[in-house]
Amino acid sequence: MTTLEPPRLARTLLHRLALDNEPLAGDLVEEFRRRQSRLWLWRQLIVALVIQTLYAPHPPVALNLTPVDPVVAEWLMWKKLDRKKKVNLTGSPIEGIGGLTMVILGFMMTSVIPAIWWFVVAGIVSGVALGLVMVKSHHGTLNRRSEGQKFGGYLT
Amino acid sequence: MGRELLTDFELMILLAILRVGDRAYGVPIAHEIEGTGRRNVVLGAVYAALERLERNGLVSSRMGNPSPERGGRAKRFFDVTPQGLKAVKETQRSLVALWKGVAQLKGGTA
Repeated sequence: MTTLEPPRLARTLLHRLALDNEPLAGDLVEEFRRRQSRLWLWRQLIVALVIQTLYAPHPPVALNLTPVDPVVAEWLMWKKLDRKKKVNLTGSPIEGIGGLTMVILGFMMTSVIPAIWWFVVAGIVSGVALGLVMVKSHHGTLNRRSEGQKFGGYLT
Repeated sequence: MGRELLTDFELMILLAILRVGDRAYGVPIAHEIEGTGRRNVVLGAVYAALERLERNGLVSSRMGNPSPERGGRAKRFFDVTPQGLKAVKETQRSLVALWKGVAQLKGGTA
């Protein structure tokens, strides 16, 4: 003779079934105690759960989505906010090119056309010279303006 | 109501409720179908059909009190509505009309 209590797993499944259909779970327990057949209970329980899952109306529930991986979230946000901004890890003077890229580029240039460095040096020297000239001329302009303001009211 | 005629299982369930009377819930309905209707039933299927019949207004239900022999779970009692009774009668009329005049069915059971 089998026990009057349903097996442990069946009790768990009955509890799950009772959340959706309490009277059906109660009927299964009542009939199981009368028949005392585990085979009958398992057959009834499995079919009931399948029917309940397939045919019972499910109310719409908001999706409880897990937040995406923080790294992915940050990448998505970066992409959304400022797609053009490049990461410059070593503070290279050229926008969008990192220090490592500069080193690699310099190495390649040196290996292919070493003479190009003379042009680079010449460019830097001429740039500095041009800058100095512009600063000097700017200062001269400022001095003349200040002199003019100083006596302007009387000379004109 | 969506349909006029019932499926054979729905018809059996409605007839079982009418036969059981006021205290018709899942277990006696299934017993009635198994005993009188001579058909094995699964309680889950009975409840699925009862839900469908209730949605169509052919049965109504009310909850009973929880009882210890059912693991503290309540019974759900079912009644056939006037609409359900009408559907049973219409199905009976249709089936009887189809039965009449079938030569193979005359002269006792097969």
